[in-house]
Amino acid sequence: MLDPEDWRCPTCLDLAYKPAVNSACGHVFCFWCLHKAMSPYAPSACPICRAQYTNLPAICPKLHQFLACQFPETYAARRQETEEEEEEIGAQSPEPQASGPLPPPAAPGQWRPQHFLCDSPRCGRLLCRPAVLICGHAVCRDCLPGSSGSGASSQGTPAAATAASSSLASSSPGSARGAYECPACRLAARQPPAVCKQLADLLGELFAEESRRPEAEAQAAQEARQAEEQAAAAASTGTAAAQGVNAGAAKGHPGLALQTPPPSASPAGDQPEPQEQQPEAAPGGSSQPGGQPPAQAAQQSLSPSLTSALRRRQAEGGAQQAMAERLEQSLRRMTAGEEYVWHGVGCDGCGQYPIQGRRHKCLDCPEAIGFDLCGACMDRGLSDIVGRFNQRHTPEHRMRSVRPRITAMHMLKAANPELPMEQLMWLLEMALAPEGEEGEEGEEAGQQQQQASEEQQQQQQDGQQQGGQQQNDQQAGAAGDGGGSELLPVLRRGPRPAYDPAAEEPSPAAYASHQPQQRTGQQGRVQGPAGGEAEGLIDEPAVTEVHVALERLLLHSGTGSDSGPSSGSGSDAGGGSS
Amino acid sequence: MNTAARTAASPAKGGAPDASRPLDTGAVTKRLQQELMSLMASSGDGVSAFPAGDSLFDWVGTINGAEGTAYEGCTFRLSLRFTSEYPFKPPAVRFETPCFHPNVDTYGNICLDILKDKWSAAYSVKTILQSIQSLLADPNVDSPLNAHAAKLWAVNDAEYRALVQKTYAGPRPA
Ligand SMILES: [Zn+2]
Ligand SMILES: [Zn+2]
Ligand SMILES: [Zn+2]
Ligand SMILES: [Zn+2]
Ligand SMILES: [Zn+2]
Ligand SMILES: [Zn+2]
Repeated sequence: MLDPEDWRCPTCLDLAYKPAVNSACGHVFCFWCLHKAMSPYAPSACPICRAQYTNLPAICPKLHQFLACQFPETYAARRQETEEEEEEIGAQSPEPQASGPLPPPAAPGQWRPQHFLCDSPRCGRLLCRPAVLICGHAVCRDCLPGSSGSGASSQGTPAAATAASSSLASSSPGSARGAYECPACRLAARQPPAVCKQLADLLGELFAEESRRPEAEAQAAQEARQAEEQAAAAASTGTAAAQGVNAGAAKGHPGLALQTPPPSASPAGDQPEPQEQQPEAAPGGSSQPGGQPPAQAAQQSLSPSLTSALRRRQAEGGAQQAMAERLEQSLRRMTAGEEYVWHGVGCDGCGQYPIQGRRHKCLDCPEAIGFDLCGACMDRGLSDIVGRFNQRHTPEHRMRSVRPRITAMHMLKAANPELPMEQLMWLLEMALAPEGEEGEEGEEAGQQQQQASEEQQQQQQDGQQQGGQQQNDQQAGAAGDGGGSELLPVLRRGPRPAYDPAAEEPSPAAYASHQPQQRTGQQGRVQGPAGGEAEGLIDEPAVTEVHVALERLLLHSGTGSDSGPSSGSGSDAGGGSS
Repeated sequence: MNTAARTAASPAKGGAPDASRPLDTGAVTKRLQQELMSLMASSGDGVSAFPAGDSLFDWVGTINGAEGTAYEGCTFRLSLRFTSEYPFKPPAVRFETPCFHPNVDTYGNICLDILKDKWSAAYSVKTILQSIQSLLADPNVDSPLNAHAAKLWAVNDAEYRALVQKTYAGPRPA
């Protein structure tokens, strides 16, 4: 593990710079690479193993120090490259904090166990089976308190959910919402952190002697615990028991004080204040003026024009009514309280990206990327922290809760509740591809859209008619827009600049004069209306387009496929004429 | 953090109207060079790839049909077009050599999940070509782009093979 090859980032194929560890699986990437690999719309998948992760982890100071000292020239070159790129992007990665009590070694290779101590204040020994947490702290896997969350892991993997619920049984009830709390800074993860194999292998190589002993002890403790668990948990399933071992093993860890208070000792909402790097700001206080109750905010999230469009459909009765009602139901569900997903917005406290549930935004941070906190981090008063992108937030800054609103992606999801988010993401991105690159890529996009609209129609029309036509379209490949693929071709042309939010119904004429807009965002983000605040990835004009497109879909679904192939992909068929 | 705001603030947004040059190509170029080097170091897997011209963003790949399949003896050319978002977004890949296959349409477009929603930034040109190579041998007939090929694949091996060879030899449709 002293070979730079072992520390190649799997996505840029270069030495990992400012390494961040996906705590869901322990794989190591550059901070920026791990961020860029994340989906702005839904939980992300590890590029290596597809383990689901919901949080952008902070940089791991220990690995940063190791790489910087072990491979000084390469690392310095990587620093320079990355800083140039950051200049271009207009955002910074933070400088990692000190990694431990000992200064970095004078020369590569002079590593001592003191450079790799467990960050848990109760342990402080050489890391054993190290897990790197979303805060960047490295702790022995067995120094983690057992999971204590109940509903908190609902969006994790099934395994995570099982782990959380099963170990709930072994810890006392009524514990705090967050599970897998960092023993050093108390930041709670929603997912169980995994052992970082790369770091473990490094420690095994550097300190063969020292690391063997605690590992053996931990192993013994774990086995003892396992036997105990198996005897006790008669009703638990196999997985539940296995997971419970990890939680329980913490008590048997050699480095721990005899009596480890269970993580649930501090009642919800009254946890000890974070230490050191996160001195507490007064929760509430100056931070939350005029915060709006989220439930109320959700009620208002369907805009008047959308609501009236839905009402009109509902008044027509029959299939249209049913469809409009279903759409409205799903939209209301998606915008309710803790369900709303803030596409493209992440929490600077815990790194959750995208934020789900409440979102609090700083009014005073000058950085373009802004500063946001999720509901949980806001409640914990995580106010005086360095943001994930080095924002200089202070406790004096004013935080305000932001009201959810429907974006194109929410509409798409509401209309296709059964399609997985990654598929919708793909569709939307194809749909919003720049128009300049028609031709080859356009054809491919058209094909994507066609496929999607077929699925959509099957779903929306309960398989009415059109079967034959679809078959033909399939055989014809990407030959333009097939019949009934209105939704996505409209979307594909991207956001329209001209839209008057005051107008109750967007006028099709407003679209006719649309100028193709070059999409230049680094990750294919869509530009918001000029001067407007970019809250989500897709802004109002695009939403309105989806709205219009959905209307047309609803309209045509009653009459079958008489719309025929719309006038070709290049034309402005954006109007909702009927 | 609001990544929409981040990109809104990037120079490319408010900057020059000529946005045809992709932003931030340094990292992408470097990664593509890395891939090129490792591709040249390892050959003989029945796949190869090389930049098509001066630009590192357009590549030509070749795939040899695996032995024992209907595609044995065929060498297919493919084009790969990368964006400045590579490797976080897949390249656009298509067959340039006509290919009769359930998951390839007459334009050479390929229906393969790893080129779409199942893409991972850890995939590479090599893994793409190898995946397409195994797709040739093992089509996914549940989501065909070429329904005729899908039907034949299931019921008539001889005719399927004949059409593969005929398409391979035939002229490329406009
Ligand atoms: Zn990297
Ligand atoms: Zn992984
Ligand atoms: Zn420890
Ligand atoms: Zn921590
Ligand atoms: Zn948070
Ligand atoms: Zn601030």
